[in-house]
Amino acid sequence: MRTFVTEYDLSRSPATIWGLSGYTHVNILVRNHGRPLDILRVAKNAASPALTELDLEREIDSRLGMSLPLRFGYDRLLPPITMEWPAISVIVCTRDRPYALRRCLGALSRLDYDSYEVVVIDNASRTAETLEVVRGTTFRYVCEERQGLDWARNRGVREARYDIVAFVDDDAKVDAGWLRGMARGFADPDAMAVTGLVLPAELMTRAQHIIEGYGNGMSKGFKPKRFAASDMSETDRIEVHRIGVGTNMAYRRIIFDKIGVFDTALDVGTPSGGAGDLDMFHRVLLAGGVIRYEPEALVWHQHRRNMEGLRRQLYLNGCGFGVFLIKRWSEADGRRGTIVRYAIGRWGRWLVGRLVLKRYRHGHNLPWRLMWAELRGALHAPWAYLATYRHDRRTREKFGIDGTGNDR
Amino acid sequence: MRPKISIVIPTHNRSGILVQTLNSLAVQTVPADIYDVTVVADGCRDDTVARVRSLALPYTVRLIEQSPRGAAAARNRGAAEVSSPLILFLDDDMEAMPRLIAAHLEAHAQVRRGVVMGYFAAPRASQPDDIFVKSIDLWWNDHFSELSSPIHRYTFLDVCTGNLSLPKELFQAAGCFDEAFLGKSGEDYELGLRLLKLGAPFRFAPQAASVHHYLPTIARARQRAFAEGRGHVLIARKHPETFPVLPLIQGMEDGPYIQIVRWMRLRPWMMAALPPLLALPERVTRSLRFRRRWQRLFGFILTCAYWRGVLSELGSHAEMTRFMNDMPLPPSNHVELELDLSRDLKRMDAILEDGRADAVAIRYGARPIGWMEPVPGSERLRPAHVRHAMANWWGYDYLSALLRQPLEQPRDPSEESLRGQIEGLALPGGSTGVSEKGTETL
Repeated sequence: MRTFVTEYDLSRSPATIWGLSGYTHVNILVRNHGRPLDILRVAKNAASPALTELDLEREIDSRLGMSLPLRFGYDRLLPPITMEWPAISVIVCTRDRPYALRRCLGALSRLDYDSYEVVVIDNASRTAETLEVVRGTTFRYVCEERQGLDWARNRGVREARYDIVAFVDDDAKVDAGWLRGMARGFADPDAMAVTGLVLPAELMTRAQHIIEGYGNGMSKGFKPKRFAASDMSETDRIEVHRIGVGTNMAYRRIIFDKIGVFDTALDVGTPSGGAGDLDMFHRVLLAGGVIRYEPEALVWHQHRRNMEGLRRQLYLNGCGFGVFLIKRWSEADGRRGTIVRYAIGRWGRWLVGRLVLKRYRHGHNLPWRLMWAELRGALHAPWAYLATYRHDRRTREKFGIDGTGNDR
Repeated sequence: MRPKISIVIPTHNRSGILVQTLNSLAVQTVPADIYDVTVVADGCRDDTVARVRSLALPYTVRLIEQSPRGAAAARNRGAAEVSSPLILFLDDDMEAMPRLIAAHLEAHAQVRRGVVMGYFAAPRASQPDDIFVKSIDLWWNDHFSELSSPIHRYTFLDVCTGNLSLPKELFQAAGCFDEAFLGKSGEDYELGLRLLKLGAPFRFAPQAASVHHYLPTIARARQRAFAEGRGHVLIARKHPETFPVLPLIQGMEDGPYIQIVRWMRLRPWMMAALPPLLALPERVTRSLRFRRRWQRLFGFILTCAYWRGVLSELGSHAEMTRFMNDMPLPPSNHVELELDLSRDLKRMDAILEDGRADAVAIRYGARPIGWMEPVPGSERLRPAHVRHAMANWWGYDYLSALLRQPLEQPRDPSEESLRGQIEGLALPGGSTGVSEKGTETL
């Protein structure tokens, strides 16, 4: 099964989509004046080479037709377009992935935005290829020797020149209107952070289809959302993965002065394997900041192509979220009982429950091995928690920084 | 008089076969003063030098000795030394047929600044009963019969330097052979890719024939598959756009190939023990002519060797996972040329010849008829390619589009799509500029 990924803007005249031989499905992002409305999944004959304008219109009418007027009406509620566009610093953290980085930087150079800068943070790459890739562009290159994604992110915050700092991963490709979406989120003066829509850039392999079908992949829907601690229950504040993903997020710089930078013990490159973004979302909410979700800030993410990579990712997901929960528990920034109840009653039950469902009801389409991987990750979390903070202390000793958690 | 064509023969410790080749070059249909031969002895330790010197040949032979640096380096060295405008790369085990040089020259007279590929086949007497040798012969046979088709779309994977001629200037403009391929196979593909990028036309000259005195063995085939695995990684690293057309792409998704690689990590002793263990059943099935069984076994042996090569070039499993994840897949929907048959049918050849597109979309009015997809590392589409596809594959669609056309009524405005109705609702503000294409490459 191969799915072709493309987009179609209602405000433009339709054109035939060619080059579809061999694809059984087409994922069409329907947009209106650049704003994402919905994803349309169209099944097609693998032998036919094209999807014509007529096919396209018929699909849109029959599948989205009823909801379209609502969506157009909804559009009017958004802030006016003639807003002031703030300058934004874009941080790309990367490690030894020259081919992915080249694609990412290519998309960043085609952004439809006036004042922005791009800083590439090379997180202890083993080869000089990363430097070569950045040299071919006009972007800034900074090398961060301390290994760990959050070390790189903190370095990015320090290197950024502008008041808004946006982060994007090296395996993602930003949409031309990405920064405009971010800016629209920050038009709300209370918004301290903005996250955006993440869609699959490529659906060629089984692994990519599985992750996209697993809790909608990384997409958090097509409606803007506003998250504030005052409107959320304590459980909601733990479930920060509903807010967004680290592939596509931006912060006001002042929030870092207020609550500190990313926790360097967390995220990829350390034993914790993730959760740096979740931790930050949680801390922003705790400090009374508002986080906005803006689907217009769109990023195309390239999911792992093979099951090996997917299994590893799910393992790290489980592990990272577990470490995040333990950190919440140890810092006691909520009632500890709530956290334990959530960890066992909700998350644990979900992890184990779907295994049972799969066994007795054939109810879940996630393969066994992947379910196990996530559960194993979760069970490994306490050890990972201890290991990651030990690792962090060692890193700080090695590079001569005190362990206060804030190196600014 | 300056020779018209120089033959460059790299050789490595195979004096017997080399002498046979040199002798065969003495009996050509063209006079001996219009060609010369350059033999590059690449680290030869046998009697090659003495035997070549002692030969009495009607044409000029130049002998260059160098320390062992591989066939690519030897060919580059030889090509750098020759003074004639054309170079013919010939392997030392290619016994030339009398019309070899004449046919190459004729082909170059027809195609300016082009690459001419000659034909070769194994001598028939070698081992007629061996299904392995037969399968290799068949492979080459298929390869050449495909090349000889007038509608063949040349790709870099067709290039083989055993019997190939091209202008020296073109060879140097493309940048010669890449000497980084030492111990790997695929330097010919990689050169072909650069030649295609330069837009050099390719020709197959079946008259330029030679006899390939090469006895394939299982061990050699395994070594070659290993070297190919290493070489393909190098090609993909140098030209990432070729990744989808190399066998490497099979590593992108989980499949038998990836299972093999996984075993290599989990049970390396097993993978080390497999080839000798499989040697016996391979030999048994081969001698009993259990064709299917043997093919599967042999295929498995080669696949293992290929992926071992890939792995050894990439260094580690982690690196391999990263490589498979990050290699770019070029967009397949990139339309360079769109032909509307209701309008352009008569001017089709002219449009295609001007456009020389990589991908062509054919439609009749609003109906899509066919699509020639872009193939990475292949020549641009000639009118013959599109004509062939139309004649063979799209005739039905074209005819049905023709017949349906008058039956299709213009759409009733009252049934205009919902999109039209709600157009008024949409805000005029926020326009991002209207482009002529609604779809974009992702």
